[in-house]
Amino acid sequence: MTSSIPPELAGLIESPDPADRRKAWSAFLARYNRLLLKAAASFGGDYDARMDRYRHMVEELAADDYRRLRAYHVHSKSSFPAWLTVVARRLCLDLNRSQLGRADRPSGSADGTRTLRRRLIDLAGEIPDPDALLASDDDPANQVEEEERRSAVDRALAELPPRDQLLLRLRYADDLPVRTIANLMGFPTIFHVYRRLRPLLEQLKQRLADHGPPGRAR
Amino acid sequence: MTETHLDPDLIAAYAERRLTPLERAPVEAHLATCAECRRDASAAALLVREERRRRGWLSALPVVAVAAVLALVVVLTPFTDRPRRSGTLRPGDEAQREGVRTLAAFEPGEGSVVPRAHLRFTWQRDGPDALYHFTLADRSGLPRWQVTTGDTSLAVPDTLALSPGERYLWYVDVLLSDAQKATTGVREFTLDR
Repeated sequence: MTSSIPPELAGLIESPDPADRRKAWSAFLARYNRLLLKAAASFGGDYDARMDRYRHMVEELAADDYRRLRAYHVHSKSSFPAWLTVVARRLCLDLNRSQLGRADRPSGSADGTRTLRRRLIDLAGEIPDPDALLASDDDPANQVEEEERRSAVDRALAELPPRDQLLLRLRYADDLPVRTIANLMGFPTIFHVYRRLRPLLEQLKQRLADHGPPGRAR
Repeated sequence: MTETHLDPDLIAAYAERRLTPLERAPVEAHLATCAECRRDASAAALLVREERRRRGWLSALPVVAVAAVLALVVVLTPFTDRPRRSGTLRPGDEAQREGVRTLAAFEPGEGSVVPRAHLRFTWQRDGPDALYHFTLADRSGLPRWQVTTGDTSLAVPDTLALSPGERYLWYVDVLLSDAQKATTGVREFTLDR
């Protein structure tokens, strides 16, 4: 499926007259201001922080004769607003990184892997070992066991088809509402999401039991 | 660590369910391992859902607009003969008497209770170059915040002091290029405690 170029964008990138392009730029902003403001707000922060992001997005979208916007074309598979949402978010992220350094680069914790492991162990119904709960985190034996447990979860996850891995991450690492997951992944209803999650958790429970020692969720 | 992310077009198309099963599989494999692309995809999916909802709402707009005008006439009629206090707010009824066009107010909904964090005003667009005059007032009608904008959506500045549990009034007027006016009329909401 391909998309048509919206008139606000066509006027901007197709007109040879700079005066017409300036007018088209105003029309473009009037049409997509709300979307851009929403993208700016989705990263949190106070009013000034959101406005900084908004300004950055507008500058970057207009830079080099609208170079970024020209990347959208008639053969694009997505609609322009959905595409612009992703581009706008990435511009916000670029600004955040330039301001804060690379601190928000995904890591084991930032990409939700740690949360996912912990929640999967909980949901798979492991019973915490009281001795393990009392043991110190500095105890080498405890650390080895913890590492084994993590590896067991990672192995069990890796054995699942990518679509199932994605489902588990969206639900238990990103904490997305089931309705959003259904929309995103194309499940007909939220019940289909639940229906898929249940056997997946059962399967994980079985694999965790096969792979590693039960213990405390972390 | 190499950070390779999916093309925005692929993520957006996935969120819109425009990919074939063959195209979808590698996208899902990447999303399963990339939190950043997952966040992009869920943001795009949310937008798609809102657009669908808005389109559904807009298709019902003519009916809603007629109902809103009728409701305004019914509500504002008792006030039309009262003397007006200086500095108080009654632009909506004036507008109705003058027969100006109605601009649809989307949010906050009439009579709704809104948490401060979610307080955002949105209304119908009226032409590409329109300038909107927004007023937020306390329940006595005294303006608390006024701003002119080309946008159809506004968030109140964090510096504006508003009291939880209080009722507030708001309205938007627009002066069109043909010197005609349009207004949302006075709307009311309560700030959540």
